[in-house]
Amino acid sequence: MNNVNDLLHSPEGLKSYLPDKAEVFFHLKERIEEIFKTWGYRPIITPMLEYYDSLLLGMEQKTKKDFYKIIDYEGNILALRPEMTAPIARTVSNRMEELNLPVRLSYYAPVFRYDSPQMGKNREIFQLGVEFIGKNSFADIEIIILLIEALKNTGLKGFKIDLSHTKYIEGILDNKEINENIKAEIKNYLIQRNYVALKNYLASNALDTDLFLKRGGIEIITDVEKKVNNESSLLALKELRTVYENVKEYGLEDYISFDLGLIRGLGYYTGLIFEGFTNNLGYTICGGGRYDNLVEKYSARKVPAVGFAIGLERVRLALEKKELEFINNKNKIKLLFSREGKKRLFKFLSNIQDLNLIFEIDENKFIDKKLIDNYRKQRFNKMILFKDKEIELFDLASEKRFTLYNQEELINKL
Amino acid sequence: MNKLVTALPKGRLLSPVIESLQKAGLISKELDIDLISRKLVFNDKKNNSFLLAKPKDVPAYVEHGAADIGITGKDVIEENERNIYELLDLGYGECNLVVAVPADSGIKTIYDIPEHSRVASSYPNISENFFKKNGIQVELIYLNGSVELAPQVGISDFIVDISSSGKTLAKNDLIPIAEIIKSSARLIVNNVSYKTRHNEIIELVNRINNGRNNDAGNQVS
Repeated sequence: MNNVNDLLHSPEGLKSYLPDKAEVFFHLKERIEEIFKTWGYRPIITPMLEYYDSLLLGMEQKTKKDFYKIIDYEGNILALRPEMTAPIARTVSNRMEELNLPVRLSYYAPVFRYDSPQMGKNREIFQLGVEFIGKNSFADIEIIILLIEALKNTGLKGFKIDLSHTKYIEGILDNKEINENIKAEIKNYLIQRNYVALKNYLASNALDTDLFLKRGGIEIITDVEKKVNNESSLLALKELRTVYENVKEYGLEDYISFDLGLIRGLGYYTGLIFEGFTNNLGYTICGGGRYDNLVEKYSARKVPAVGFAIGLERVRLALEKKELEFINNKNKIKLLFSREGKKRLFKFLSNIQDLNLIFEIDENKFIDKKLIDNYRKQRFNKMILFKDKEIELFDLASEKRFTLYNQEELINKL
Repeated sequence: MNKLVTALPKGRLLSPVIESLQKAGLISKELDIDLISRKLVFNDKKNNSFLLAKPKDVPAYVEHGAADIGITGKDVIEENERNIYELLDLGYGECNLVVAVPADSGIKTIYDIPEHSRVASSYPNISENFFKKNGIQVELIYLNGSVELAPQVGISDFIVDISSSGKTLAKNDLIPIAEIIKSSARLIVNNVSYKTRHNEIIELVNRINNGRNNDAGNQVS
């Protein structure tokens, strides 16, 4: 760190966004939050740092190394939150008497994961998500519909949500003849997506591979319903079917598919689980599920819950390859003034609050070719020059120049 | 639908991989291996696209979605710990990742290895996990290749490296004392491609399997 140039860099996996990207980023965030708000999800803010032990309560031990840790003055180990579900479950447990369960919560939060170096991964992840905490028979359905509506509202097309259920595979493995180590290995291979080892394992334990690795449309649910014979798996399939049928009734079934081999790694899920993806991005863009035992770990009160998180950067990447021009269509105007024209400019500014303009002010005496080229590059639509006696308007799209003498004339032209 | 992009491993695995993909119909039969092995990217007649990468780099291309599928050794997959699907054991390119010690060291099993011994390897993650699991504390020296040289020149006490026939080890007076993993070529798939191109990929897996079974049949007859 002695070199001055090194000090200009951000730490690995962390980065700054310049306005061109940040603008898109916040636009997408607003589009998603708009839907959360409409559906009655109210924002919650939790601290960036939590006690390390508190975060671990909810998670599997092997996620340990993915935490950024800090030791405070008293010697406590704190960690940057690696996701929002555990901090929200903790907060809700701690403040339950102030909240009226069931409660619908939403968040926008940077979370931090200390991935191994040189893997090309972002370590600061901007998440938008919701948690539905409390009893409600409709919650799973609402959460899936909400997720689809929120993604649709960003302009994303052709995405899919893969549904699965933790109790489906647990049901198949809940068999006294299968030894506990083997069960753990099978789950491990499913999480690691190591289907070579998984198939060998299943075959040597006389389990049907086909039951574990089914993916496709609703027809695969019908298909496996005929093959499994334990209650837990059948109940899981029934729950998946109910979600599907409701989403279909709502009219969004084209966004749904099933992947019964899907297991999400975090370790706290207890029912429906899902993740979303699009054709043009090699990473999943969102994920979530039901976690009925997590709140209990903090409060000793059993409170069911379900939620999801959307990776904002991944939504941006999925859209970037298509078009994102919709953001820059706003009326962006360069306002110029000569010293004598400043008064006219100020009067104009006090009259335009309702016009929804974006403007930028500079002092300048005339509009010449160099200025025109420059502002066109910066995607301005119009230039207006306030002078002593008149107002000059130059439309950058049509290349027409107008000379105007009063404010009304000018406002009509915008 | 976009074309399917496959990451292929350069080097000793390349010709068996191309042969099996030709049998499976992913690559056309007329393709000249000598010609393409000098390229980085090529398109086949069937409008499929291929990247040629070092075997060690194949998982990175697949994880980040630059390639939908890839083929590389299990040793590499294990060392990288990437977030990908491992769908098929292709059965060729077999080798073992072994712990090997100088023949004159008197070490017979890994438990004879003295504490804080130095081990040279191109597989630091696998080696570290292996010794940790067995409760043996070692110091790792990462080397890119020719790992057999390290004990001879005294920079390490023993090595962890791949061995297919054991000849290279023997030539360098090294004897294997433990096998860490058995490796062979694997078909790996990007997490999203597994979902979006599922049928296409499963069909390919089946065709590769059929190609192999036919071979086995031919050998018998």
